[in-house]
Amino acid sequence: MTLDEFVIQLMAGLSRAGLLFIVSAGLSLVFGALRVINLAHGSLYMLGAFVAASVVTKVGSAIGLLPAVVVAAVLVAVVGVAIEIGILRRLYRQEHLLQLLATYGVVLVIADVVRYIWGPTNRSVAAPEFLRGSIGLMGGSFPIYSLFIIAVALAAGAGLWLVVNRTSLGRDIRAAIVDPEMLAGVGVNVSRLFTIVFALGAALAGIAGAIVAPSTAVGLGMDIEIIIEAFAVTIIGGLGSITGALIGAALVGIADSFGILLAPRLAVAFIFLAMAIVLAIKPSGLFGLPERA
Amino acid sequence: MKLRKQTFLLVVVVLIGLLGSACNRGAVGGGEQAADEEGPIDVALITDSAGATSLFGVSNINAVKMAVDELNADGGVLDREVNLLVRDSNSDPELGVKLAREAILEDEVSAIFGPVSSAVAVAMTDVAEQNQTPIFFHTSNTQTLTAENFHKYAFQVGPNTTMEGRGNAIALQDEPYKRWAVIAPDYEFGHLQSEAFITKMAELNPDAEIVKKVYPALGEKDFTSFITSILAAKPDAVYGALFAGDLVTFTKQAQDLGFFDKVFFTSLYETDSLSALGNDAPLGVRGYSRAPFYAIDTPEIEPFIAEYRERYDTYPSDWAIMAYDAVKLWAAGVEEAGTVEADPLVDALEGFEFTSLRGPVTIREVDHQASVPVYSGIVTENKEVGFPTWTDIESIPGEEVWLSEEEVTQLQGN
Repeated sequence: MTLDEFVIQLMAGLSRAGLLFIVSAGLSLVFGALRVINLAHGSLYMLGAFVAASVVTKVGSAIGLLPAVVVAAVLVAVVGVAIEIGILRRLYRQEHLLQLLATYGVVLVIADVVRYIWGPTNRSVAAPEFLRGSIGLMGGSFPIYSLFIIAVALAAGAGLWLVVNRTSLGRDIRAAIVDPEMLAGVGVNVSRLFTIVFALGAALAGIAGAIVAPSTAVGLGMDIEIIIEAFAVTIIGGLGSITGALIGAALVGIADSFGILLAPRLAVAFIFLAMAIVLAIKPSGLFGLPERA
Repeated sequence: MKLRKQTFLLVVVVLIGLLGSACNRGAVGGGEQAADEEGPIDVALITDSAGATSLFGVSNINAVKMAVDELNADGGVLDREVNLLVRDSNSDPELGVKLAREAILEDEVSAIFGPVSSAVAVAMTDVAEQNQTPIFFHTSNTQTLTAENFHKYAFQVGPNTTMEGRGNAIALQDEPYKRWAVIAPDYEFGHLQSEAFITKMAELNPDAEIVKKVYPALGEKDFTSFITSILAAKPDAVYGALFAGDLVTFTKQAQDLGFFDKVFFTSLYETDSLSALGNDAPLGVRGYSRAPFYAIDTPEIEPFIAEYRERYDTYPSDWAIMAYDAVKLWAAGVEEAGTVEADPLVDALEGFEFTSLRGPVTIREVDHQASVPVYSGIVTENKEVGFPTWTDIESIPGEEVWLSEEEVTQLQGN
């Protein structure tokens, strides 16, 4: 492999990692605070992609992506609020299995709603002109859109870090991760906090769906496909940890990209192998949260 | 609950979820029990309108409904009404088997019209054989349906993978390219069809060499690494067996990498994919397909297009045209045999000459393959229909590219 091929392959992996990070960070954040494993996270991502497709069709491709990302984030966050208040809130004290079943129910419902509203055919979303094409990179060429995804992921990561570490909301979130009962004891409205956290996680999924739309075919099945990879990321990185999501996403993205080059038919296996090894050695993941006492 | 246990549970549930999502939609239509001799004749369309190949299932359903309505408007088949059951096999072979079995044993259908996915088709054809029920394939086209897994109740009205791969090699034999790369989805159809192309190309053009083969998973979402690894092998031309959602995704990602400026490319750019791509379609690439409505010039196609547009407000895709032909072939066979019973129907259809939307075709006795052509052309803007179509259209007759009878019998193991 020459140097330019190596760099291109690395960047392709990082671009996939960027997308996986945005999705997994939301999944992980929700788990950290609410201790709910949200199987419907991928469905929120798919919803974001379809909403973005409709917005871009309405507004036009020239500037359509910006309102698409905003509308997708807001709308999906609203759906998230409805899910949290309508379903999850009743299940926090129940077993994990029941929560899993409930969020799996949401997966089926959203899949059917999307099919009902948008139909089963694939959609193609046009990217804005300035994000099309590719730029020279170490003698090879690399799609501008992939760089854009990396940039959005970095921005989302930085934004999330600022919210969690530098705001009073973030302070409450960090406290809720450790001990929600104590937090309620000092007068914080924990159930409202949970709703906000879930909405934040949902918005991240919506944003990821919106930015992936122009680079792929938007269609049914996106939900399952992303949730499996996102779980691989969070299992490797550790559920509940944003840093874990970052490292996990980078590992999975790069393993996938180089796997394809070296042994195309084993690329998928690499990821699950990594997952199995992490599970065997450190079941909570590289940066996973310990179980609440 | 400890985290280890919980994480394990999670993995289990995700897996169950995957299987479950593939099985969650069984029935999408209803039907009544049919009497054997009188009353309505039940037939089933079992196709895939979810999953990786979903783009084509909708066209199947539309066209089959239209064909059945037309039959009934003309007084039915053998003066009996035709009652259509529609089932969704969701690109899932196991579900396809279950639905086919239910349709045959519980609904007692007289015939089945097959799925989109070749993987589902191969699973379903065994059920049809065991229960001696005629099954008509129109969209799934793996050669094993007419060769290795052939049985007397199976019929194929689309060009099979060998015909398609060989036809493309013939259409491209005069192109000046020496270094070829191949990209095909990693399942039944992708491997068989691209291998047929590679073999025929080697025969027609001994100077051509294959410098790279890649097989992304069906439903792959990120082709960037595949594209860069193809380009790294410096081919002159790339043969694709990509289609539907995969082709849409691939095309967009390839365009950003300047792929289409660097190499000649051909793949299954049919009506549904071109209309999904719209302005993102790569003009100037070579598309191939099985029944593009604008490439067909028969007296039958014009009224069909008009009625289809009237009903569904869209142009009929290849998958609509072939599914429609499958229903009309079955009906013509039943009229010829004078009964819906399987064995007389099969006898009537062997060597049967049938006027399809694509023109007159013969059902070959040895493998029940219809002598249908394969089409290819250059993707070009088309303001009149509102999405790109082809120019410089070539059609290679089925008789020129299908396996010889000796080859077929050898594969069938007779």
